[in-house]
Formats: sequence, structure tokens, C-alpha cells
Amino acid sequence: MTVHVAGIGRTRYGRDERSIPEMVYEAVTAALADAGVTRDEIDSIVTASIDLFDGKVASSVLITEVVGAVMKEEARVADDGAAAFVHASAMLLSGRKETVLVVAHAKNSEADADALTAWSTDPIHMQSLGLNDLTAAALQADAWLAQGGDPDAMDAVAARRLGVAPAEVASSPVIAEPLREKHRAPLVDGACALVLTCDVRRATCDVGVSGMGLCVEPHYLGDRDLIGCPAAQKAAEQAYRMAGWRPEDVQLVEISAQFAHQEILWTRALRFAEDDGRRSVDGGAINPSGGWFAGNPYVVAGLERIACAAEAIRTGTARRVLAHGCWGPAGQGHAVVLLEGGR
Amino acid sequence: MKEQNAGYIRHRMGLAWEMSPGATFSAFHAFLEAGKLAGLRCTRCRKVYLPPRPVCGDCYMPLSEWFEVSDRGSVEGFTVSHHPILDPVTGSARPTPYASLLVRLDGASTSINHYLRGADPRTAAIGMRVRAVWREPRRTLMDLLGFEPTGGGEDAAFPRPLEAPDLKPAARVQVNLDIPFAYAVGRGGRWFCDGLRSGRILASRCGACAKTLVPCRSFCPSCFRRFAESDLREVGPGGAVAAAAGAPSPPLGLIRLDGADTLFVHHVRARRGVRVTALFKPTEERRGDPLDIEAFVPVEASA
Amino acid sequence: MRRVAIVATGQTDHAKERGDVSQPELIYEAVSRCIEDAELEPRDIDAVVLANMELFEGRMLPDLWCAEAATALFKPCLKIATGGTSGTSGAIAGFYEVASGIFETVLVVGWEKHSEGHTQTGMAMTDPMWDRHVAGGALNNFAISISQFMRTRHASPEAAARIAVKARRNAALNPHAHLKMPGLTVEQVMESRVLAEPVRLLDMCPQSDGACALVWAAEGKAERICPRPAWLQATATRHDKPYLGDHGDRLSTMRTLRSAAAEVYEELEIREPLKEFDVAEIYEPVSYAELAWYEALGFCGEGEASRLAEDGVTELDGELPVNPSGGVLSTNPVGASGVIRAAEAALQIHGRGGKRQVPDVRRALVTGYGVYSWSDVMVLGAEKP
Repeated sequence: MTVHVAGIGRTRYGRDERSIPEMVYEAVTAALADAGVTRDEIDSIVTASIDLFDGKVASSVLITEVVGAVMKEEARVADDGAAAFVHASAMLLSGRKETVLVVAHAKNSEADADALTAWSTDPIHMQSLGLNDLTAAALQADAWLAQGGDPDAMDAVAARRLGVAPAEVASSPVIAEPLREKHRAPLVDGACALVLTCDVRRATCDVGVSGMGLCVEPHYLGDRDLIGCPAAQKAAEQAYRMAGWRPEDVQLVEISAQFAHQEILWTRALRFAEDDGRRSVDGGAINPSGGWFAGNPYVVAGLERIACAAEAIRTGTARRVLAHGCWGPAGQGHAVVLLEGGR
Repeated sequence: MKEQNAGYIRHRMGLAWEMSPGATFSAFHAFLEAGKLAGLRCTRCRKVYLPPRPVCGDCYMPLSEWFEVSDRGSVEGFTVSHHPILDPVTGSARPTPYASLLVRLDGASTSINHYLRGADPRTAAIGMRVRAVWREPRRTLMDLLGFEPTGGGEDAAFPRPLEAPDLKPAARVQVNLDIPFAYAVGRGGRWFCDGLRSGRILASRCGACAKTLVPCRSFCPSCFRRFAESDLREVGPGGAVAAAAGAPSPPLGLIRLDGADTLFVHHVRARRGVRVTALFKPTEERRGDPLDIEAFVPVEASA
Repeated sequence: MRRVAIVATGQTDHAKERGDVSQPELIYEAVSRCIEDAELEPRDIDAVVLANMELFEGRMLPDLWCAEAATALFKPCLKIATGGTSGTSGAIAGFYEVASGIFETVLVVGWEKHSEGHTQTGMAMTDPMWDRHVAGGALNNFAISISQFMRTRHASPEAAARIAVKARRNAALNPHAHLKMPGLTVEQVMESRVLAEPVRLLDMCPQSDGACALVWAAEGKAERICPRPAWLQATATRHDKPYLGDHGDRLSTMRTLRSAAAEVYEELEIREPLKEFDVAEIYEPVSYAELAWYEALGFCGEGEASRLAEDGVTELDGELPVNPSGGVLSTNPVGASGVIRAAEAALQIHGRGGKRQVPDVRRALVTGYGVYSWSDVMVLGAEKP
């Protein structure tokens, strides 16, 4: 049995003055239309959202109607949307569901993301020190520089993704040493929805899920190999094993990196730069979409990477692609999804 | 909620959101300013939804037909609450007793929950006719103060159609959350915090994986072995900065403490590679939490 | 389709405040009991699902803080959060992960540490454009709905008090339960302090600190781990609209539970649930809710729930013992409560219920309840589906 990505829908990513339900509805209806299915044909819905980003308790409650979950099954995965995708695919592979809708949303224009992510760090040992996603990433970047990481490469990644000169990155204001403003992807608002199906009669597009992996690292920053990113490696290993692929089989990679150095680290951890350290910077095969730097919300970023990877197959740009999602301080959780065309 | 006992680390959540009311609530607010309570009606099942929302969940139809409902209605359900809760809007406890009502406004297919006003809470009853009490000018539902008893039967004039509003970009609404939390440090945390009080940094030695893990903890994350007090080892206070980052906020470091196999996270006042040592607060100022260490400072500076 | 069973369970000693342990340590207590109970090693667990309502403790991504306490280090791990149904939805998610064929064993752990935060305040963090400034949390919301239920179904405070007594007396037989009150009487419940009319203190569930874990295993492996696995025979979930006022007379209607139960009953050809189940572990946050669920689950006709309670049909020695564990009325760490329902039902099938064991359990009903009217239903059985 193969899970297919049958429909893709998303909002424009940017500052959005709509309410969350209004925003999510656009992405869902676009995905249903793209897949050519109606709400009645959806067996189950998997959503991804985080209460503190929404500022509301049980953050899937207010979107119940717009995702079509009234009197249906819905499960909320409170991690990145890529993890929700993996869970939805597992539901389909169980043989008990034919068509599942996956939806991720967040509005990062509504609150200071760093103030919010402070509440994701260990409240006993880390939160009172001022750890959050930004400062954790800064420590990770400095640890990488300590091991010979090239600051120019960091500037070059950001410059390429943002379409600006490296000097502009290098002269942008420091947000947390050694990170500058333009080393970080813009955090915006938006929603992304995918329709997955294992009903081949219904599969309107030719994108199959060949492999998946999920992995989490230790939480305490001092316990972690912040440079090797073993969770990204292991998530990829699971996915490659499931698909029977090797890294060299992959023609295009969509990586979720909110910070420039993370794109370099994740790329290596996913086994793409072993024989070509510059590929992550210059190779068009990595993040042709612009990645997270094109501007994504938290939670949505990983699902959007999968959507971009599926679109690359649809447009014939690549036949075998890898999409990656990550969440938590300095990328504690990772998801890898391998998609293939022509199955 | 745990009060001021030892063994807890406290954090106050002082967060603010600028939330978008979106097209539906912006229109609702615009109607409200004009003195009307407006809901959206489903063209298929003809339910009139209050609050208005983008979609009818039963029919999965987008909603666009605005209808005015009455500001009078009938009590469908009620309670008299004697239980004070910490109000998420104000951050303080709500005075008790108060009556909460579920009111079906004439013309609406859904109900609204709010307080009974201007009457003894004990008079609340199902079927009671009530009328909305407002604070003027009416801008949002925050200006609805509650419902007071009124006479009369159901008003059949509602729902009545409204012209679709001329939508202007709606201003965002500030929503604050300011409430305290207290996290138990637990068995491992207590060892660690007691150590800090006495000016020591404690780690746990795992006999199975032969690693000394700092801070100390109650189980090994790798082999899941339960740690005992006898597995505690003192590490540091000296070490070397493996990474330093974070400025302009107080710089953070990953510190390779002498005797530990994992890194320690704390404030550092030194660059990467520098030998540092823990600068503890004076004994009487220590509270048994990570901030008992002010920062890691260069060895020379501490001498 | 792959058959999947619960083969191990473990829970903490639940209490009002477990100040002796941190959140990860609370989880560690449940998880280590769970895997030691089945003589498993952490490496025997392929993947982990966590269930918890993050905002009750003010957290974001608490699964990342707590993963290593659930044997999840360097493993697939995600968190399910759907309000009160988080635990049952987490259990169902774990089932799907094994059923997918990707994993042989998946550990599910739910937890909540209410003593660290403000649960009613967290629950009141509803839509700020609509009712946040007046939202009263589960207690007030239930009290309002109960006023409707009493009128429509003539549910009596005495019958509700019997439910409350049954729960706390059963809890006295459960070493893990929070509120153990072996000598509780109907009069004591009816004389306890009014929280929100008509709900009295002893009608309402407590807020507990606790965690509960269970392990799902695939057919072939399950029988090697557990001599009498609890097979998942059917499951269904229904969610409903987002506002309190959307649900009318919700306890009487409870269309989500009716519909989810109807689906699994049809799949399993269950016509007389009262006779065909040997035990039920249902999610009753308040005494009156259990009466409402009896009707929605088809244990009796409309308006007959009070009689069912008064006749003792659902007592431990009755025709269908409901909540021998003591239920949510005795123990309620929200994210764990649904996992506890599934684990307690599995324990009954395993035949390891100790003093709360119902004789010869072949089939058990599990429900989860959350938000204003969300429902999960699972049927576990000694026979493979």
C-alpha cells in the first residue's frame, strides 16, 4: 500500500489580518479542490498547532469547523506539521482509513516568538537563564563555529535564500551573538493543508510517500551533539530504510532551517554534503523553494517543505525528493519524509 | 497551584498577543457599534450562528448571510458558581457567587454564555426571559455586561436580514496572559538545588554508560537506569567555555566543567575557549535554583 | 489489517500534588512501572506517543522536555493534545502507529501535573473575541449543562451521588487512585459544599498529578509479551463545534458519543451493550455526566440512567461494572485520564486488576471525553478482532 499526496493547499505566507479559522479555511478548501475530493470523502483529520502560538487552550478547537472535523475524527499533533504528516501517513498505512487531511497553522505576527518559545525550555534548568529558540540557536551556531564552522558560509546561505548580498547579511543587526537578523528566517502567518490518500482511484497526482522517519534528541542543551544533529540523521536513516533508498538517490531536498547555520548542519546530518561541502550553499537541489527563509510560520514550516517537495515532483523537477521538518530548541525533534513520483 | 514551598521553581507568564478578529468578528463588531447583534446564517440548513464564524460545521458551507438577532432571549441553562477561578483576562480571582447563564437569543440557533445581572443569582431559572445589558459605547463583546431579567415572550421578528457590511481592515485586539506557574524540581532537581545552596555543582555518574551527567538527575536518559544519591559526583566549579552566545541578552555559554562528560548551560562572562569558574551568589542570597550561580567568570577575574 | 493489542500498563500513584517529582520524573515513574511490569527493556519500545494538555502547566512542546523519561530518546516521538480526550486520542494514535506496520511496539504515556498550573484558568482560555472574559472552565460549563440534563431527563441528585459514591468506593480498591473513600455515603455527597449549582464538591472530579503508560504491540509480538493481550477490536472518534453555546442540551444529546458508539457497535455487531460488555471504563468528569453517558452509550433508554444507577447495575458486582478503577471522579490528571481508561480496561482483560478485578472480562468499553462534547470510543477484547 502506498500513501499519495493528492492535494496541496496553502495561504500566502506573510502578515495575515484574518482570524485563524478564516486563514485555515482557505488552505483546507484549496487542498480539497486540488485533490478533487469533498469534505465528506475525508475519513480523518490530523492537525498541527501549538496552544501558546495561538494564545488559546486546545488550539484545534476553534478550527474544528473549517477543517471539516464536525462529527468526524480529528487528532491534533502538538509538534511541527511534518510530524502530523507522518502520523497521518501511519493512519493510512493501517488500512483503516482511505483519505486523511493534514493541516498546520500558526500566526507568528500575533506574539513575540522568542517570548513564547522560552516556555518550551526545561523550567528547572534552562528557562530562568533566558533560553529560547533564538538563544539556543545562537549557542548552537557558536558551538559550530568553535568546531571550524565558516561564518562566511552562514552569511552565504542566508544571502542566497533571501536573495540579498552576503554583505547585507553580515551587516544586519546582531540579534543574539553570533546570529544576525538576516541569519534568521522571517516568521510570518499562514496555514498549509495536504490531502493524503491510499485510494489509488482517487489519487489525482502521482506523488507517493516512500519513507518516513521521526526522531527526538535529548532536551538539555549540554547533553546534545548540537553539531552532529543525530536526530536528523536517525530520522533520515529510518526513512531511507523504509524506502530502500540511499542519499544519492535523492534529487531534491527541502530542509526546515529557521537559522542559516542550521541549514548547513541539517544538510550534513541528512547526508547531503559529505562529498560536497558547498552543495548546501550553491546547489539548486537544496531548498529551491527558498526553504523556511521564504517566510513560514512555526509549525507550518515542515508541512510546507513536504508540499514544496511534492510540487517539485508534480512539475517534473525531480523524481525522488526528501522533505524535512524540525521543532524545539536548536532543532530537538526532526521528521524526514521521502516522496517519489511515477509510482 | 503550589504556593511558596521549597522544591519549586517559579515562572510568571507575562505574555501578550495581538490577535486578529478577522472578517467575521470585524463585521460583528461593526454591527455591534450600530447597536445590532449579528449572526451568520447557513444558506443550506438555515441555522443562525452566534458567534459568527466562517463555516457551518454541519454543512461545510461558507457563511455569508448576516442576520440580526434580538438582544432578548431565554435562559436555556444556568449555574450559580461558588468557585472562584483565576480569570485569564484579568489575572485575578473572580468574585463569587455569581450566576452563569446559557441564553438563546431570539432568532439565533446557538446560545451565548454570560452572567446574570441585576438580580439575585438564586432567581436564575430555565425559561427565564432576559435582556442584554451593555456598557456604552458597544465595541466588542467585552462591552456586554450580562443579562437581566425582562418580561415578554419570544420576539418572532428575529432573525432579520442585514445588509452585508462594508468591511474595513480590523484592528488587532491585545490579549494578555499574566499568571504564575510553579514547577516541582523533583528528586534530581532537589539534589542539584541543594548542591547549589552549598556552593557545589552536582552531576550523576551512570555506572552503565560510564558518563558523568551534569546537572545531576534521577535517571539516565540513555540507559533508563534509576540514579541513587550515591551516584552523585561534584563537578567543576572550574571549566572551559565550549560555546558562548546570546548578546545583547545576557550571554549564555556551554561550559565543559572539570569532571563532567556533558556540557553545562549557564551565563558566561567570557568568550569561547576561556577557563572559567562558577561565581556563586553569597550563601544568604541563594534560593536553591540555577540563578544561585551568577555566572561563569574567567578564572583570573574570580581570584 | 494488522491486529494490535495492549500488552503492558503502568501508572503513578496519583495525588493532588506530587511535589516529590518533576514532570519528567512523574512520567518516568509510570513508564518504568509499565515496561518493568511486562519485563521489557527501553530498547524494546520502537516509538512513543505522549498525551498532555500543554497550557495547563503553561508549557510549549512539553513532549520534548519529557521525551527521555518515556524511553523516547533518539526514537520517533510525538504529542497528541485534544483537550480531555488527549489520553484516549493518544492511545488511539499509538494503536495506528503499530497498525501501520512501521512499528512493532509503541508506548503511549499521558500525564498532567495540575498542581503546577491553573487548570480552570487554562480551560477558560477560549476565544477572546467571544467568551474568554466569562468562561468558567469545565466546572461551570458542566453545571450549566447539568441544569438542562436534569430538566430533560429528570436526572436526580441522588442518582448522581450514587455514581460519586461508587467511584470513590471502587477507588479504594485501586492502589493508584487519588480519592479513595471506602466509607463514602450518598448523604455525604449530597451534603458536600456546592461548587456550582447543582454540582457539589463530591460530584466533581479532582485535579490530580499523575501519569499513565501503556504499550501496544503487533500480533505475533503481543502474545510473547503478554499471556492475555487486550486486542483493539474497534475505535471511533467524533469532534464537534467550538463554542459552549453550540451544543444545545449537550448532555442529553451527546451526539458525538452516540455516533461514535453506534459506529463501533455496528462494526462489532453489538446490540445489547449492557450485556455484551463485561466492564466499561468511561470518562466521567462529573457524576451527572456518567448518567448522561449511560444513555448515549445505550446502556439504558432515555431518562432511565438514574434508575440504572439506583439499581446498582453498574456497581462492581452489577451486570456491567462501570469504572472499577474509580474513574475520572477519583483520579483526573487530564492528559493521563484517557490513557488510564484504556490501561484499566486492558488490565481487566489481562486479569490483573487486583482487588478491582471483574471476573472473566472478555470485552471492555473505553470512552474519552473532551472540550464541550468531543468523544473517543474504543473496544478492547480478549479475542482478536
